[in-house]
Amino acid sequence: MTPTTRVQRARDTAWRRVEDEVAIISMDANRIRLLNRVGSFLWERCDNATVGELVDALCARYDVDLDTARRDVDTFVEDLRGRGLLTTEAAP
Amino acid sequence: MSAATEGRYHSGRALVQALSARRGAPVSVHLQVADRCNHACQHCYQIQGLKGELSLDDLRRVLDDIADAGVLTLNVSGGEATLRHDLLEILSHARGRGFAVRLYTNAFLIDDAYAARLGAVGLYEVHVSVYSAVGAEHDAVTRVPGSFIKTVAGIRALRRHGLRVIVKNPQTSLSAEGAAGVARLAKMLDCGFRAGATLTAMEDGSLAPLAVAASPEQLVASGLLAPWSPSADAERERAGRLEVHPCGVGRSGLVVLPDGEVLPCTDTPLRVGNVRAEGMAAVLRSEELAMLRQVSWADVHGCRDCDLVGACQRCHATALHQGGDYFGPYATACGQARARYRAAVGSLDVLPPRADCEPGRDPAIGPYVIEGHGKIRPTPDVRTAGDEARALRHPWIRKAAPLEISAPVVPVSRLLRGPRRGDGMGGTARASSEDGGASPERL
Repeated sequence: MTPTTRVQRARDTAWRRVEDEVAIISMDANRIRLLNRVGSFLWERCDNATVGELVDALCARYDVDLDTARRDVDTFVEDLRGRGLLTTEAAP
Repeated sequence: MSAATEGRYHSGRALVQALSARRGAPVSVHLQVADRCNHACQHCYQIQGLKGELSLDDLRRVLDDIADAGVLTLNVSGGEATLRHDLLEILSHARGRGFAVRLYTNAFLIDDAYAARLGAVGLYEVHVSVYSAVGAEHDAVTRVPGSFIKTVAGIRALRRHGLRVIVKNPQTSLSAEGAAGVARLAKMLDCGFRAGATLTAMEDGSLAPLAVAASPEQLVASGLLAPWSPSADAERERAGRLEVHPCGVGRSGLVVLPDGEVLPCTDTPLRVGNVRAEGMAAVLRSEELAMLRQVSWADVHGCRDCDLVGACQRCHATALHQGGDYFGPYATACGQARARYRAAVGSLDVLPPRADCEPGRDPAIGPYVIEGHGKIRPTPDVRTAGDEARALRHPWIRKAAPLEISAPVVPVSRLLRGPRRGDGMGGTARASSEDGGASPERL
């Protein structure tokens, strides 16, 4: 995954923000996942955003250094992609 | 900062209830899109053909509105939703707004091509009711000969196209074997299975559906009512029970009728607003919903004083229709509670009512006190000033004599998907559609 990798919410998900958290239903896995505040912040931006854009957004919103933000975004994307909730596309 | 990927898995129902409680608003809406059905099930609670139906444009606006209100899961039903030729457009719009969509259908009209199109929409689940694994028994419930064969064929088509199907079995007295046979059928069809023990009154208060309700003994035998007896610390158990909600009415979900009117649940005969006219946000401010969201077992007179409250699976709406009081005891729930206790202790004696009960007290209705192993005695149903004040403020919670209506029949024309006849609201029906409109060849 590079900063130019594009991230998109998987088509077969349903989600809503509930106060400061996002609830996601994964159609395939028949599961509901509740993201925490930071995860919810990122999830709402996963609309064909690049990893770099997500890192920048995280740094702008939270008091966090760049390395930590990169690590968190990478972990977030890898985790949710592994669960079929996000798709990624490498930059051409 | 905390890790962004921390998430918590729950059962879907538990999470939805938790989210609803936190928001003070439902996460789930049950949207009835069709005011008509191609079956005439003996136990059905609906009265169809009188409400009218929202147009596709209206429904799109309603879906946008309830999405903006934060509703996550959407149950699309009827009547029979597949009778609407624009159902696929409704479902597609709902998916586009991010709902997890469940379709409730009898699958009678679902063939391979239609299932393929449903699969392309991306539904969360499809729920199909099957009343017996014996075709003749299922058809006796639906009053449509051949419906079992078509429903099973519809389920197979849905599964072929990868849709997750939940076979539901509202148990009736018309199925000799009960839920077990349908559970086996569901497994054979590679579907989920869910059985239900409760039938409810019709929308006009008629108790006709209860005439085919499975008896408490049948429900115990089929495992839908588990044996129950009080724990060693019965008082503590009951005190805990009194703090919780008897059901999710007003909290976990709302019902939108085909004309946009909103009910707290499918069975509570109280219109709390119209989502088309007022919007969901205004509906959610209803004083009646606020009251219902607060109800716990402690608010249910009779039941709160009953030693069998731990075995009770009451439905407030049926209590209103059967016993005349939304927050009072009623015969069906009391009978089921006694059956659960009897199943646990082996036999049950109902002793004469206590001396301070009102004259002519019906021993089939609680509250009861347990006076030794397998012996219960009716005790007074005490109404407090708080109960009376609530009834004055919300007069709909008590009613007069119930109505009775005769059972409907199914005209052959209702077995077809197509335009709604006499469409007075416009837009619901078109002369033709991609999925074949009202083509009788679909049968």
